[in-house]
Amino acid sequence: MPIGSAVDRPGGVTYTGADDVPSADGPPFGVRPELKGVYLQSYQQRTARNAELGIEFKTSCKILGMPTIMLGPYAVEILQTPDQINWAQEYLRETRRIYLDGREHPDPEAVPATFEGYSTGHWEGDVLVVETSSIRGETTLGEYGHADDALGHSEKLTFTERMFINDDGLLQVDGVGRDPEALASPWEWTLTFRRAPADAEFMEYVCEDNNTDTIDPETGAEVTSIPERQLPSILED
Amino acid sequence: MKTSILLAGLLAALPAGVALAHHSYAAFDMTRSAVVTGVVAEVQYKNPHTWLFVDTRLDNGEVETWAIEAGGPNILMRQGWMKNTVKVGDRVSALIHPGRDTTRKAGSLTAMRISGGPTIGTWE
Repeated sequence: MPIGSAVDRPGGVTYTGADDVPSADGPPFGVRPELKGVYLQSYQQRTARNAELGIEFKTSCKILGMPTIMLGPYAVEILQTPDQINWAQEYLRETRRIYLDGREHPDPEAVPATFEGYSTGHWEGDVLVVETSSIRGETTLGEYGHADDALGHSEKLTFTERMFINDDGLLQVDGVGRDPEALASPWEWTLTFRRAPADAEFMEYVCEDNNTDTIDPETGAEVTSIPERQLPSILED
Repeated sequence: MKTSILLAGLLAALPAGVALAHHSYAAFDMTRSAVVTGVVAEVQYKNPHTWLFVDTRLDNGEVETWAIEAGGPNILMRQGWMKNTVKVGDRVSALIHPGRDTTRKAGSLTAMRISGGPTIGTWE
């Protein structure tokens, strides 16, 4: 029961898989988290540095992780069995795995955190409730890029997501991020997703294939290189 | 089995503004537009970005080549630009955001008109 992707939204083609707010109208996820402490300082330093460089985030082919995977701009493919759901995002080839078999989350002292974190879920009626923990500190809250200093949030970050089909027929995800060290209050957001046309197919996306964008190691500036030509000029005599 | 949740998705546009992408478009002046008219000399139809090389002939007879960045196949195929839609030798007009470095003939594609063929993207 795979399904694949791709629709446009009312009013025109959208740039993002989720019905996220246009960047001109608000922050990613529509609402900024209330960061505190060193995590707020890290955010301020990161955004100030990016502003100096004239960029909103650093170029990268590295996967985004939770929660930004939920904003991936391409198709989402959700594969479901009784015991597991895989939420795959075409962009950067990321996949979240949500275990439904009742297992416990791993011991964070013993098992290293990951970009997508560890997700388990259970049904409450027609609502899938997903709990996620063990998310690496490089992932950011309400930003499109990474935290190079791994201070995007603390290791205590968790998400609770309620996933359901809403009255408009959209897949709605109501998320709440909690982090007693990095968040002054729970960060609540809502995303919706639209079912793709029946003939949509999930596509391969290899960011490294023809990546011509790099970061200048000295200045931190984004460098866009023009790739080498393979064919001669067509108008030369 | 419980209700199958499922799927959803998305589609994307040629660069029209900053959104999640693998780079920020800092190399291009997204506030300016220009039109490049010429002949397609090469198409690198790959992720994360397709690059077009378009040759134009200047008034003095010299050939100038523009390197134009577009979305990758994941974006373009869903807009109807398949691998064989834009071919070497096609005459095109490309609406671009030019590079900030004006010494390089480069741009980020907004829309393209193919002579005798379709218009890709929104030309406005």
